[in-house]
Amino acid sequence: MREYQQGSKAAFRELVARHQRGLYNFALRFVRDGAAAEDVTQDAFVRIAKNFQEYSHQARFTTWAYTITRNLCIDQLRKRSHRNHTSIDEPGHAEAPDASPRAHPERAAQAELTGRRIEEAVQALPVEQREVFLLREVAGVPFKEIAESLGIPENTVKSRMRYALERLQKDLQELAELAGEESR
Amino acid sequence: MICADVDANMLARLYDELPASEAAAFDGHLASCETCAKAFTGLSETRKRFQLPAREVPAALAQALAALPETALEPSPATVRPLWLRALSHPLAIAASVALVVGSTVNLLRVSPLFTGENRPSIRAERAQEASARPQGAFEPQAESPDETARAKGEPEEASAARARQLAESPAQPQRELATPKPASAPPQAPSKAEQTCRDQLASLEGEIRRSGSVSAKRTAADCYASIGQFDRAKTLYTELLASPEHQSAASEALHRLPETRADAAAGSGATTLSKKSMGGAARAAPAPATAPAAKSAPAEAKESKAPVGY
Repeated sequence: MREYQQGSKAAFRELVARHQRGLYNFALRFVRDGAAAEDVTQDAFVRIAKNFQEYSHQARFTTWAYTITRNLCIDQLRKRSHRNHTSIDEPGHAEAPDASPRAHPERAAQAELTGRRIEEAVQALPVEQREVFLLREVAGVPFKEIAESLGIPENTVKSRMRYALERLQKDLQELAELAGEESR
Repeated sequence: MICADVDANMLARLYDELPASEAAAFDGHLASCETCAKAFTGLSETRKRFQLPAREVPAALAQALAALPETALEPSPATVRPLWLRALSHPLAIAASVALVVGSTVNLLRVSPLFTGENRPSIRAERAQEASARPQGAFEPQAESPDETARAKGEPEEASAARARQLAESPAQPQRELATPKPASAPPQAPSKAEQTCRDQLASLEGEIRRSGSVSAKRTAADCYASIGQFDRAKTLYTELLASPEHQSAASEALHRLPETRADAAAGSGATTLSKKSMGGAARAAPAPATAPAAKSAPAEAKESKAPVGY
C-alpha cells in the first residue's frame, strides 16, 4: 500500500491480485447475489484507488479494505430493500459449492446439498450477525478491528458472533437430523 | 480461571486471539470442566462446518479489476488542476509572477498619496524643479502617475491629488481586473483528458441510470456534468441524490457550489471544478468520487452505515 501511495500502479495490481478473491467472497456472502457482489468488489477497489491517501497505516489494509466493502454491501442491501430485488435466496440463483467428488455421484449430490444449506444458513443470519461472522470468518479481521470498523464495542462484536455461531450450530443439528432421515 | 471467564473468552480462544498465558489457563479449565468443554467443542465444530468454500472471482470481474490501475488511477475531474495553474508551477512562471507583483506594487506605491501627495513635498518639489528646468518644447516624458498625467493635462493640483487618493484607496482594482473571467464568447479550450473521459463515460452512465437507477452512477455522472459545465443536468442528478442517505450531504454541498443559472455558468466560462473535498470526503474508511473506470464508477464517499438493514 505504501508503494501504491507513492504512485506505483504495479503495487496496486499486486493489491488487487492479493485481495480480489477475499473481497469478492465476502461481498458474495454479504449481498447474496453474484452480480451485485461483482459490482461491490469493483466499486471497492475503485474506492481504494481513489481514497488511498486516507489510508493511514494505523489499521491493517485488510481491515480498511473490508470496511469499504462492507459499507458498499450495506448500500447494495439498502437499494435492494427499496426495490424488492431478486436475490440469491431465490431458486436458481444459488451457486453450487465447489466440492464435487465425481467418483461418487450420490455423495457429491449430498455434499452439494449440505454445502448449499450451510450457505443458506449463513445467509439467513441477521445482517448484524452476518457481517460480523463474515468479517471474522471470510475476511479474517480480528474482533478488535471489527469493533473499530463498525464503531461498536468489542464485546458487542463477540456477542453477535456468539449468537451467530449458536444459531448456525442449531441449523447444523437440524441439518444433521434431516440428513439422517434422508439416509434412512 | 472460572467458568464465567472461560465463557467470556470463548470466542477469543476459538479464533486464537487469546494471549498464550490466558490460552493455557483456558485450556486448563476445559480439561477439568465438562460443561465448558462441551460448549467450546460445540462452537468449534460449528466453526469447522461453516468454513465457506472460496469462490473463484468471475473472469469478467477479474478483467475489470486488472484494468483498474489504468482507469481508476487517472486523476479525477475534481482533482485535475487547470492548465493555467499547472503552467504557474513552472519556475519561470513563478519568477514572472513575482516580477509582476513587485512591478505592480511599485506602480501602486508611486500613485499612493504617501508618495504623491502632500506627504512627499520633497519629491513634488523635486519634480516641479525638474519641470521648470526643462526647456520649452523639449521632450516630454510619458506621464507615469495620475499626478503627472493631470499636470500634463493642466489639471489643478487638488484634482490630481484626489484622483491619486482614489486610486490608492482601491489598490486591489488592477488585480480584480486580472481575475475577471473571460467572456463567454471566448473560443472554447480543448477539453482536458479528464473532461474527455467524463464525456466518454456519460452515455454509459446515463444508460446505467436508466436501467437500474444506480446511485453511484448518478453520482459519477453528476460530478462529470458539473466538471464539464453542464450544470442543469448535474443539478437534476444531485437533487435526486439528496434522497440517498449515502450521498445526501455531498450532493447538498455540490448543489450549493453549482452556479444558480445558465448565465452564472457562462460567466464562469464553462468548467467549474468541484473540489474533491467538496464532493464528499470518504466515509470513515471509504468513499470518494472519481473518474469512473471502464465499466463502473467510483461514487464519492460512502458514509458508514450502521443501521441494520431489513430485507
